[in-house]
Amino acid sequence: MAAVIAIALKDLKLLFRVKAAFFFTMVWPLLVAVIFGSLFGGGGRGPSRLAIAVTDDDQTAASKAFVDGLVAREGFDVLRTTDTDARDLVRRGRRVGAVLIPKGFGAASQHLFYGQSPKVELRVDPARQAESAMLQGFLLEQGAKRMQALFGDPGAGEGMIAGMLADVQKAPAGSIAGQGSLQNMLGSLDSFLAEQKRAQAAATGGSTAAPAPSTGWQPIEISVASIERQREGPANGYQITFPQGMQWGILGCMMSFAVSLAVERSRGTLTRLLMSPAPSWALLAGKGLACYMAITIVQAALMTIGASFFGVRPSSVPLLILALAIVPIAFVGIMMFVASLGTTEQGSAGAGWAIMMPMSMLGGGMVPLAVMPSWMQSLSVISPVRWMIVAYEGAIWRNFSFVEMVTPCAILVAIGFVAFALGARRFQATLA
Amino acid sequence: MLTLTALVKQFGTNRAVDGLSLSVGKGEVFGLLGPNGAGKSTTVHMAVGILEPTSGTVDVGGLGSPTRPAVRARIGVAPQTLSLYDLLSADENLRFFGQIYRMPAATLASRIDWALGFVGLLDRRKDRVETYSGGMKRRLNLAAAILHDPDLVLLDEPTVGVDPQSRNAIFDSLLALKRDGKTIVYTTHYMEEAERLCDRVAIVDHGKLLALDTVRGLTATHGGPPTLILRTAAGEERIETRDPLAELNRQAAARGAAMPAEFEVAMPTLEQVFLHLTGRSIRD
Repeated sequence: MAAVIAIALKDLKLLFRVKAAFFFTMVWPLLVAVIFGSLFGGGGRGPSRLAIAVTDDDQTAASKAFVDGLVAREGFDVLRTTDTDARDLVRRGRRVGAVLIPKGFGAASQHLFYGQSPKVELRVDPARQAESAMLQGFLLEQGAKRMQALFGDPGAGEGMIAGMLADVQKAPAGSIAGQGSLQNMLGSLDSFLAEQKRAQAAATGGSTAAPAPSTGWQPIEISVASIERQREGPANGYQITFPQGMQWGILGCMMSFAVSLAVERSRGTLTRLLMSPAPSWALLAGKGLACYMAITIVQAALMTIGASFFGVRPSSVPLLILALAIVPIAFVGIMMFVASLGTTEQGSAGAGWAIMMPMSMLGGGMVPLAVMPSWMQSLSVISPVRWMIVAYEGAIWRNFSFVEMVTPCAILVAIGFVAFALGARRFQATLA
Repeated sequence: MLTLTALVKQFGTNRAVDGLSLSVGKGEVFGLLGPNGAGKSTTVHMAVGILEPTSGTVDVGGLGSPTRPAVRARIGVAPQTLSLYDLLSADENLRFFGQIYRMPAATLASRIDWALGFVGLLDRRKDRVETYSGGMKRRLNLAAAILHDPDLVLLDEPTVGVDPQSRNAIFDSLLALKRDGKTIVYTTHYMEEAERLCDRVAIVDHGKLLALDTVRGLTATHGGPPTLILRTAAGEERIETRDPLAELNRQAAARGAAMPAEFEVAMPTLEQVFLHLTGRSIRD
């Protein structure tokens, strides 16, 4: 056993002293995971918001209040900018729409039921009909809040009505349609709001503070209930590409150790090891142990980076630990088998990559399993890479139960033991 | 210390070792001399148990076959191919090999110091082997062979590709080992090394043992008579004679004043022994 550990530690030391091996086991997998993860949508977006640009040419209290109301809405991402820039942003697709509040908005806001209505101009791509309808609805709602405020805060509404009544009374006769009726209605409204104000004061013990916006009469009262959509896929692109990256790290480790046996043979160190009291099985066991430890280190490092910086968090930590413990078994076995295929470095390396590149391509190591056509997914069952990626994904985003995890783990263990036994037997035969 | 009995090793149709039998005594420096392809390395590999003989037996120190780990623990080998890890330092290489030989940690540390001092590499112990010269690597190869204090040391062409200074250093180390009572089996195709170091020499070719004796015995039996060389103005005269002194006197009496002033007696060499036994030079 001491020989096995000594050989394993020696091989780990050698692995991390070879710059190329370090690149292919640690750096390259991280590059693959991060770059391709970014291409697949990166870290995912938060709750969706409508990105709009707003231009306030009026600059009155009413227009500013209107814009503030838009900014305060949770569903909007509002950028205040000039009209020229706002149009450009919409044209380039950077903003869904642009809202212009022209001069005169504030003055028109003082009128209800007569005179010029306060205007806003909405600039939007005609192809974005859904967003356009949504924006118009939001703007109407924002405008309707003025009326809601009238009834919700009788004190403020009284002042507004008094102003409108004065305007109508001062207007030349016949200049406003239904001027007489409007005057009567505004007078009644004024009386109504005064009574509302007295009643509110009595209810709040004489407080003159403005009531909450939601109290009082509203044209329609909307209550919102949340129903979260059931997620069936990864939360972000990195949850797919980090297992793929880990696969590259594992292949790098596996090939390094497979070739190292041929290197030992050509450099003569294998001869010295065979001349020692250590049995030949200890040499193979030491290589296997070193390969297992190297793969474990690579997996742990990449998962830690993924979880810390890229949102690759497992849905089940125990299952992830199980996957991280089982996956190396398969690839240690494959390493031993590949090592037995050649007696030279070139022979072992060539045989190894010839086997593993198609396995990687077929198994989801290059193209995600989720986007493969069904026939290719069926064919991928022959690839150990597929089972490795299924095991990782099962623990990260596929929400596997323990029972569901048994299948990929059992297959990986079987591959490992069979491949190791075959490879060891072939390797021993070359020593005779 | 080492007994090979009727060893045969067949690789396909090639019989690399053909019925080789010899015995090496304790404390002896035993030379295995022969050209490239004579079967020396194959014999060494069978002697240490990594090659199984087609037939015949190997016994090490009366403990039995070297296929047993306990027997291999008593053997130290410096293979012909440098068996070192280039990316490890000398220290790290020896520490690893000592662990493979199950040396206790405390013993290992002191033996590493001793071995590196023995081969003159103490000042370079922390440097990676890839920075060493060929001679330094050969010396470290020797250090790895003797690290665990073996009873039998097998050195397979230990001076191949080595500069004269390093070769002399290796010779001095081997003579020191001999004084310490180690049994050494030394394979080489350099006659002068065998003549300088070995108590007895076995000459092998095509897997067969051609002759085995002390150097003096081999040259006396197979090397032919000594040669009296007379140097005259016209050149050299070479006279083979079993009694150079008597021949010298006869020449002086016959030539009188014309007797050349320069003369030399050349004793037969192992090269001549090999030529006599095989009909060809060892470097052919």
